[in-house]
Amino acid sequence: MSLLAFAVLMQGCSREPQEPLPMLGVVDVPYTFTDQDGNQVSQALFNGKIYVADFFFTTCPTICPLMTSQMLRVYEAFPDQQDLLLLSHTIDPEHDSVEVLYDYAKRLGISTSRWHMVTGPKNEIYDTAKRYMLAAMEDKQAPGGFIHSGSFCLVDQNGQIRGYYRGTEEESVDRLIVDIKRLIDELQ
Amino acid sequence: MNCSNRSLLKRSIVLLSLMVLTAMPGCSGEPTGSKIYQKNCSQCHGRSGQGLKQLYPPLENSPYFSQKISKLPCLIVNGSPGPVKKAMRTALMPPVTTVRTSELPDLFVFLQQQWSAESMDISPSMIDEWLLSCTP
Repeated sequence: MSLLAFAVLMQGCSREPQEPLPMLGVVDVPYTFTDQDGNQVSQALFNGKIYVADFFFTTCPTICPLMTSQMLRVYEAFPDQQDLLLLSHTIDPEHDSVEVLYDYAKRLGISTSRWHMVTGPKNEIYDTAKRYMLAAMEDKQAPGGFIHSGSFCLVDQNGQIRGYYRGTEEESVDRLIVDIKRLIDELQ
Repeated sequence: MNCSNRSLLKRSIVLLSLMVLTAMPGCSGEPTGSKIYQKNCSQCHGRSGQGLKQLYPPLENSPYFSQKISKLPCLIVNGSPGPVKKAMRTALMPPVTTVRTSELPDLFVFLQQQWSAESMDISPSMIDEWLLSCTP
């Protein structure tokens, strides 16, 4: 009975006209990075695409493994979607060379054409994080040696940031998957 | 509306009793070792030890819980031993800096109960002994 009431309530909600996702600012990254296959990756690759960006490092002992498994959920939720890309930047480029990223991606079983893991000059990567309005910095005291945001940033086909999601929390990433579907619908 | 109010009430009662239960020391359903595992290990190896693809190994029947258990304290505290080729670093386990060595006995009991066919009594002094043999 209570379930029924809940279902009726929910239906009532979904009939309301949905607010469009917010426009939180345009991302402008002037740098070219290198992905796990050694390809050059610049902003041009993402023109007209919806994408999700995050910052991590492969030896991170705390939040990154959770972020990686949650990003993998996003990857697996859209197996045939050409309009969606994933972009993970390493904030430890001294360690995370192209070879290390290649090994990491291979172990994860992902395809470079859908999920780019990029490395590059450290100052450019940290500046890129700022352009996504995400935190990333070195801190010898932190576990693994870096402090960084665990958020995923959703960017639309025009380079507009449309949302931030906690990359360590399943419920938040559920919401990201729903929001990606909405952006894809808007494309059509 | 009445219905949803009642379900809300039911849920609050369940939640409240859960909170009371977990607040009672010694009565909590989750054993100490399980809490230590969830806090320090589950990020990579998964909440139920399932691992993640080829990146983080599953824990079921790991030799580190039976014949290699004397190597487990060093593996946790220092990470996988080197030297290893740089490109393969991602295949290695990083040091778990968040776990205290005093938590290892409870953790080991949990790991063996969950994922090992054999289990042996590991005393804190055995773990101390094994930690002395670590080669960083």
